[in-house]
Amino acid sequence: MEISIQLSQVTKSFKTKYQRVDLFKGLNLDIQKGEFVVILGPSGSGKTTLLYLMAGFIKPDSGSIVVDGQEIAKLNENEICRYRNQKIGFIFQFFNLIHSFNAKDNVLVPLLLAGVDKHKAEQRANELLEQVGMSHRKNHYPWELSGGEQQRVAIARALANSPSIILADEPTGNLDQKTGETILELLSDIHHKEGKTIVVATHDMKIMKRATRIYDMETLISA
Amino acid sequence: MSNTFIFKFILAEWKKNPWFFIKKILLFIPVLSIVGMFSTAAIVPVVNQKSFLNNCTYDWIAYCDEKPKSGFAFRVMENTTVAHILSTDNALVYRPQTVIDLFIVDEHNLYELEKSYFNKKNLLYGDMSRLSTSDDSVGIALSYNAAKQLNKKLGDKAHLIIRVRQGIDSAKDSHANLRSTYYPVTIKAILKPFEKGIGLVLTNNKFLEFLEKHQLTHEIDYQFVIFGNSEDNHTVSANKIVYKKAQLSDVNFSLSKNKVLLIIAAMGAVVVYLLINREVKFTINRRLRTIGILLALGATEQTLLKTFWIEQAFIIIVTSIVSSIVYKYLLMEPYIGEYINIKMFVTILLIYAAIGLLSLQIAIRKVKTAMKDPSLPDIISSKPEEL
Repeated sequence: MEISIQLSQVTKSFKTKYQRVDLFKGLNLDIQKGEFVVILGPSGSGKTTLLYLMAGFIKPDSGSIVVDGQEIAKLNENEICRYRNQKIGFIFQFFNLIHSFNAKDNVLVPLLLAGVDKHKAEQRANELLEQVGMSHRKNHYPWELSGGEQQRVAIARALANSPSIILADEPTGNLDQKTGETILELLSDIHHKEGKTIVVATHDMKIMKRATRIYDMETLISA
Repeated sequence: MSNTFIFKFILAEWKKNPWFFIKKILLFIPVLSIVGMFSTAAIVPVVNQKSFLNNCTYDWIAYCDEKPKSGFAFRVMENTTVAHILSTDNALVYRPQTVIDLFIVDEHNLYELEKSYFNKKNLLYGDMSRLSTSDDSVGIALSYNAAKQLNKKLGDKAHLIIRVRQGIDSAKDSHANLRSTYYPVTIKAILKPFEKGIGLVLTNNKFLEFLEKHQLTHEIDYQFVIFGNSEDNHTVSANKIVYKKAQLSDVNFSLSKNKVLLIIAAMGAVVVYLLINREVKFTINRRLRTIGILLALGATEQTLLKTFWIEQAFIIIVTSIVSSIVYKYLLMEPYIGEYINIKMFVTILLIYAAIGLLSLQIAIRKVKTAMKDPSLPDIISSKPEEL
């Protein structure tokens, strides 16, 4: 199977006011194309940092991160932006919708940033909102939506530019159990129907049943 | 291209919180207007001098070093000095400590000019070309606005009413011993607005006789501006500067006397910068999470900078337009209103916009810094306040 994401000997440390904390010291991880990977670990174990490294939000201190054959640390500023915009769809725990935009406009953001024609972008946004069951709420603003609805819009936004990889950071972490289930159902559906690589960082054990592969942060770090 | 996104974002932000933008505009308007007022106040005398020189019929003009210490245009009428040149012996004669009240004369009555009269905006438009001369009157030089007022009201039918407080030095004292004498005048020249006083020009023998007859000739230590013909053989003294007409075109009417105004204007520009800097910083802090989200969604540095720049520049342009209107119609109309034509108005507008945009250009660096903020990933993964 083809490798979608490959982390080799990745090190990442943070400086606090008083000390330097080594989070990863030579972390290795291979994720195959089309996998539904769950990264398990307690809060503070470095799950989010790992996703941010894959998404190119932050850079590793050393080591390489290759996504679809591309070493992302070597990309320049504009290339990394294009990478985040085109190749990655990111779903946040706290949805992170832009509050001045309604649901449809939030989905439009990655499309407009990519330079997609306004009419085509609107058409695509409508399709995605339909897909996540939010077309009836497309003109509503984030504060008018429930947590589950906001996360659905966030998923539609993550899918906007048809990225090959979806990274989800605790996607159910801020939702009640029932709503969380429907969100996971939606992600599974996207995985099955569209064959996207999905990486979910969570400490919710219930997500495991949907995964094709599970990594434990503790094992990853100590390996 | 992400222009659609940029305009959509700016409009959405406006729509979401219009007060946030209106507040900024309201904050900038008085500052910019006052900056403009102080910066151009230094130019006002030059503008008026040039205008005067273009139209004057005099061969020389004299300025003194000392300026009156208080008062605005309307006070010219209250507490002033008169200068005239004695053509007989070339002596410069002034009217010291003499209150000259300028009265309006119409067919029937005398109306005293009141202080408030000079502040009435709707009376400020006069046609200077209507000013004429009459042989039996004496030419006077008035402040620009005083002249406009008079011309509007009475054409050239003005009289000097010279009131002498017999035995009393101060103009603030009682009017009990006031002696009034009248003399017809023709407005001949316009003084710089910030140079107070009524300068007598082209004195005639009749007037001199009149002054002598009424014992109104005394010398004082200073005067502001006088004008003369080639036959006037004026003696240069220590406290005045005389320019011959031939020299006038070369005269650089220095702004040195208005250094304070320029310094205040420069300080005002710094205040504009500090305000814009503060507003940009405030906007960034307010939108730090949004910046992080947009970067995560693939927005480029240029897109975010452009978004901030266009948004703030729009505010600055709107502010500049309103400030220019405030500047012209509320602040400067009484002084150089007639000179603020469309060209001058646009110039002021461009100056405002330039100050604002230059400040913005410097302040916008903070957006760059914010985009590199190492805490951004933590911010977007933390729980927002609204949840």
